[in-house]
Amino acid sequence: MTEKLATKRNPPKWSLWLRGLDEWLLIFQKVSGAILAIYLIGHTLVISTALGFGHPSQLTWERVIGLIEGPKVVGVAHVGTIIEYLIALLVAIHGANGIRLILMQYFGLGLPKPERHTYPMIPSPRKSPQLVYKYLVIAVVIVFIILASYVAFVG
Amino acid sequence: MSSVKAGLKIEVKRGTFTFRVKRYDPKTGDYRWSEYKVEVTNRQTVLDALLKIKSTQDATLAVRYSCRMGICGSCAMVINGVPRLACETKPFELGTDVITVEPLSNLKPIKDLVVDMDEFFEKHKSVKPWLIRRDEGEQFEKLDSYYVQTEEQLINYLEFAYCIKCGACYSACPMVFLNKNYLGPQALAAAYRWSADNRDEGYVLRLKVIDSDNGVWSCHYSGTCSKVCPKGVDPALAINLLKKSLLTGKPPAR
Repeated sequence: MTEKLATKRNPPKWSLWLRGLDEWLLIFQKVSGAILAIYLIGHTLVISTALGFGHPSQLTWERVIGLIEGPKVVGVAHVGTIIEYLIALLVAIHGANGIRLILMQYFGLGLPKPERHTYPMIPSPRKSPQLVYKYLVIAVVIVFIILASYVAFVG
Repeated sequence: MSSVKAGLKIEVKRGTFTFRVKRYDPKTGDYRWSEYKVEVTNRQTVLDALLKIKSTQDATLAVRYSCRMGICGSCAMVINGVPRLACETKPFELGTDVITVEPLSNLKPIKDLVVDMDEFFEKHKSVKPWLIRRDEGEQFEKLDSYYVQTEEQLINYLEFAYCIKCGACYSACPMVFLNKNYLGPQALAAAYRWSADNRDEGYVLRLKVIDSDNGVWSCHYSGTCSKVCPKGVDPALAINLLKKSLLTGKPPAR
């Protein structure tokens, strides 16, 4: 049997990408972005249908929105409210982290200046300025969850 | 056991570790796991253990290494799930009795732990990682003057000049896994290293490669490259500084 050169790369170590905050923020950013893109298409279709595709009527609106809203499940919240609540959470995560990335990459927010090596070497994602902004993103999302939960299920 | 030298007491401990090695067989094109029990001291590295396995238990085990002291970058492999240099990783410091050793991810295997680095070096070469001057005559023929550089100008790129091209960052990058044509953290850090050098005038030539879908814009910033780098090079910082330069239209600080 002759030896043959491999055509496929070695498989990745998935566990390596589930360890750090940066990796989790990347996963949330990608997943929330994909779900929001799909939601945007669905939302456009539902609202267009409710508006009768250019021929709006009260009856069509109430029938379509009533169907999507569904029955009440918790407090004042309908099935539709819970879907909107979950989508709002994704918007909060995607938005807060997205703003952090834009500020960092455009304005250099939290990026250290290159410096001479000193041991132990700390990579920039683990240095304090960047950590502060990452924790700030998490804090913003937690505050948003509390406020959104109050509005959706109590108020 | 202990030894005393120049007033310094060095504790030497011994322990037996089980090495689970993921091996690629080029004849069948499949991977298989081999297990070896080896006694090592706390002064020895994973590379020492692999070489001991090769000389005493299994001569067919293929490992690539050269300098054995963290300079050449030949012995990078995935040890306990993280890409590291085998010559700088001590079994005693890993904290596990069973140590898994695998070839670098995101690269094609050749045999056992040896991977094909051609693709990695081609990408490195594509960013023109050398000193480029507008006037080649002045650079290569009139060798009567120096290119002046101050301490501050040196520090702008020195951090990124420590790269030994071991491929650990390339192996750890999730975006290299998702986009096979992505240049990867090492090549982009090299692009920044040369572009931030005040003696270099080739930033504009490198733009075509780095300002593209397979250049910096494929990086979605997980920072894993910087966390695994055995030499403390910070490719994630270099990529972010390149993105900042491209977005603001200002070349890297030099």
